[in-house]
Amino acid sequence: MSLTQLQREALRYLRVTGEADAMLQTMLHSCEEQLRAACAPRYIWRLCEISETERGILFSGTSLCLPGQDIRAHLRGCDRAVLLAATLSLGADTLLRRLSSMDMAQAVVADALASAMMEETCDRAQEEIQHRLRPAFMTWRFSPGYGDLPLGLQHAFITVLDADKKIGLTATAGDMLLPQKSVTAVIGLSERRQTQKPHGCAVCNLRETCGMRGACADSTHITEEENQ
Amino acid sequence: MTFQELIAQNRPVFLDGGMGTSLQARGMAAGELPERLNLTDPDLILSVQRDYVAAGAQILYTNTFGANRAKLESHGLDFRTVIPAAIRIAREAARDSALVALDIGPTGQLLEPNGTLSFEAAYDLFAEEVEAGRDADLIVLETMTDLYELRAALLAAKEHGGGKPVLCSMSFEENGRTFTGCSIPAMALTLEGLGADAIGINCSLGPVELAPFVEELARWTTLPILVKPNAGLPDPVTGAFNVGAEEFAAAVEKIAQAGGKLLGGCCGTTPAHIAAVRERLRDLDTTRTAPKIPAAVCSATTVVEINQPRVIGERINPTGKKIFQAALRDGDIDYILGQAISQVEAGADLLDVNVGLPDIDEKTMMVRVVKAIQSVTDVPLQLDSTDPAVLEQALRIYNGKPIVNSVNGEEESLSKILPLVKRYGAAVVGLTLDENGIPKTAEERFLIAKRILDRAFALGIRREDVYIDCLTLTVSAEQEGAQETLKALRRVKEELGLKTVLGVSNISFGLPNRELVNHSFLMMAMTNGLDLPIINPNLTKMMDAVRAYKLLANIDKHASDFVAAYGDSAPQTTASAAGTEMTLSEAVLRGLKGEAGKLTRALLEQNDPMALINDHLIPALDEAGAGFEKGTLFLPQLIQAANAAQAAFTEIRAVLAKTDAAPVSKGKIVLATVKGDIHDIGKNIVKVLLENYGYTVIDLGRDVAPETILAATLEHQAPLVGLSALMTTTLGAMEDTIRLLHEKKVPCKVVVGGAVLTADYAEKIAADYYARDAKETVDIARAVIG
Repeated sequence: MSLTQLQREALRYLRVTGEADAMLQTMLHSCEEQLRAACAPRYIWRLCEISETERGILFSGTSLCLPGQDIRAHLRGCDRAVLLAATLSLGADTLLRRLSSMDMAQAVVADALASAMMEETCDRAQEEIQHRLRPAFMTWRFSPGYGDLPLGLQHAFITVLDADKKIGLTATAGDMLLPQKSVTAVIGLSERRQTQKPHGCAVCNLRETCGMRGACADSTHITEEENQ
Repeated sequence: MTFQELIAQNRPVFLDGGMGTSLQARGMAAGELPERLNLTDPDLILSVQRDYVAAGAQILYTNTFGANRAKLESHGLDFRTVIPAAIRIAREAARDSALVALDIGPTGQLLEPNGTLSFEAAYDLFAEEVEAGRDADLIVLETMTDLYELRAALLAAKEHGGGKPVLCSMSFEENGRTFTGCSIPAMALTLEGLGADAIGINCSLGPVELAPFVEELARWTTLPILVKPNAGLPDPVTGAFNVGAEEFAAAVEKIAQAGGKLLGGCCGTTPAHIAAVRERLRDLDTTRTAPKIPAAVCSATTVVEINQPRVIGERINPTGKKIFQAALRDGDIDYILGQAISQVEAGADLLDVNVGLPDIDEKTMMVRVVKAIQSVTDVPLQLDSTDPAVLEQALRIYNGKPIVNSVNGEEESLSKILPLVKRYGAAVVGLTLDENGIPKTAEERFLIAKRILDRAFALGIRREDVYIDCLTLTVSAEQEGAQETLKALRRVKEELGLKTVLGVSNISFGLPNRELVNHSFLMMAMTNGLDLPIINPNLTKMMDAVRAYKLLANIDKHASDFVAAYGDSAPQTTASAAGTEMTLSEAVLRGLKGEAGKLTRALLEQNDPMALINDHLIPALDEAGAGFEKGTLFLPQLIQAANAAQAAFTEIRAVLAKTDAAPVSKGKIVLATVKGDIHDIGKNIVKVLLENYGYTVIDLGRDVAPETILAATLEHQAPLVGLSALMTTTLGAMEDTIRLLHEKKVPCKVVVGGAVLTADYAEKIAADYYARDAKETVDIARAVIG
């Protein structure tokens, strides 16, 4: 049985080294099938001109202003930015909940696959943006909760993108996204080619303690070169 | 003109168009709160609404889409000021030309089980909005994507709205489902049952895409249908919508022909769109022949039409089941969920839910169990209780259209149960017994069925929602009874045109080879017209009979279900490893659940249960744990091993339950994901491992307040409490919980874990232990409890 790209990613999140045994391979295939049937990945994005002010980065035509040093660094040299929200949909949450009450082993495997699928969905969104806007340079995806960008901005992202109506994305009073497998992010665009900004583990708040160092979704981009 | 008068005319009723996008077109920035403008710039709102009235709108929605307490409070606004202000503006714009509808959108938070907002809390949020909007002419609940949330809103609007008409509309994606998976038939069955005055579809898609959905909706409701499409889709770069006024109006004409009666627009539509629709459709005749709605029940995602035998699983019922009773007393919901899932996997179309035990709070337990089952399965439920108060509570919180089990011919039952069935729009099982007990003859049972039907009609309950149970008697006691039951069943079906339901298993009581008698009687009953057999779907022979009947009765076309179940492609059960003798330890290590259970059963014949645990199961789990630590075995395999051990424990518990021995438990551990945190996979992994090492886990779930954790720890006198948090933002809640446990001097140890935690941080917040992973938690439990 050969493994799909998604399954290989999931194994990385599960920190499985070496070959997956037959039982694990069977689980990966069955869980991917169930996951693909259960969820309907969706994303939405919006292009804004941006400008730097004392309060933070302003997004034209919206009430959004992003504070902090890290987002400044992330968007330096960019004159436009895309606000992105993406979700695997509640189908994924429901499946994970059902699997958790039936068979935790499958739940763990499906959870890893879902994280990989979330990245896949964001990559697809980013390809669409690239194709539509053809900028000379795109930054990687910077999300609330990274560096000093407050997690509390999730609500503002959702409102500005109308993401609750458009893709069914919400945030809890504690600023957590629901459905659980969801992402909001800022991608900077520039007409000049630039060097990629600090990325992945380098700006992650968990870098000192994370057991996934070098293995999580975001760190994969560290090796990426400039966009063409 | 009132809403009822508008609807009574055989012409379309014109609604308004988009508010948010109109405000953005007039300068409001994306992300600003439109409701604030009711106070800060009322003239702006007035100008938009005047334009809609001029365009021909006969109903104006107030600018209050998100005006609930939870949303407005975070912006420093009070809904009690905002809502009346919005109504005053709309009233001024409407003058005498339009009605004013209080517009209520979703709360913005996800309801349980997906989110953390409870059904009851959502109801309260909607109820206070409805009361603040008392000066409106009607109420509109719109852009809903969660049927559960809409049910809460509709109940609140009906119970607090002073009799105002209530209109409901949901948003569907291209696949014909909402974000939460609700289908159009499920929406229609549920909302018409609950007494909505009009239902429909708004937002998400353009008018061309919505037309087929309207067609489908028209087949499932007799209510007036409202439709507010978007002006197509917005461009992510320019923000512009792509369907102009004339094109929009042409597509809305198709919607009207498909059954749309109340017509307007949502995002991106302008007064020009509404004017074009009115111009085109003002003289259209909207008379619609009422569709014949089939007999059907549903959850939010699954509609089950009662047009062929549908199996109702009977296993969720404590009667005569010691383990089930113990699970109810201990609040072991997981056990009940296991029963639910296994019946659905075996082929049950619906599940009966009965949690009545003399010494538990049945009302609270019913609500808890119904919510839990609906969080993991899609099948509709049959709510089963003898207590009307329990039934009412279950009917309030059930998501979809359930069956009520049951009413009977006694006056007290008829007068208490049927009004509940009507009020909550359920279907109902009618038992053919009355004050005099179960009549002997078919004729007498038929007459009771007729009496129940007449009473149902008198309350406005449809014929399609009454299912009659002609009652199975034990054939060993009254041999002639089986034929009387079947005769009554056939007459009820043919002469009254009602669906029939029957519990089958009673028939064989006191006889040898009960299974044979049961599935034979089931086959006879289906041949006589039984629609809803109540059986144990986990018994192969019973499901075999149902599948064979559907094949032979030409219901299972091309034998496709039959072949799927029994043909070559049917999933085979995993054979044991080449038939070799496997030890229990090996079965556990390789994660083979079936094998582990089988071997345990065999070993229990000659071994002491405790010896089995200590000599076989625990060492095997230890070996798996050691492999995990060395990196030769990974998390999924570790859990598989735990699952296999669980299968062995289940066998052991069954033996112990029979001998009334005390259940095996090494001690209790309280587990919770802390307040504010909704990620519980880590906690669930820990739970599985702890349980399989023989600990009793009190799982409090996610987003758990410190006080709840304190109370549970005290109640269960748990020596160990495990707390999990995934995000840095919720570490504070973890610290608060530990502080509270210390303040109250609870004699327990606290172990903490989660992605963002470190040993240092655990020490700083005064936790007793830090566990890096689930395996380490087990080691800590052993150190603390033994």
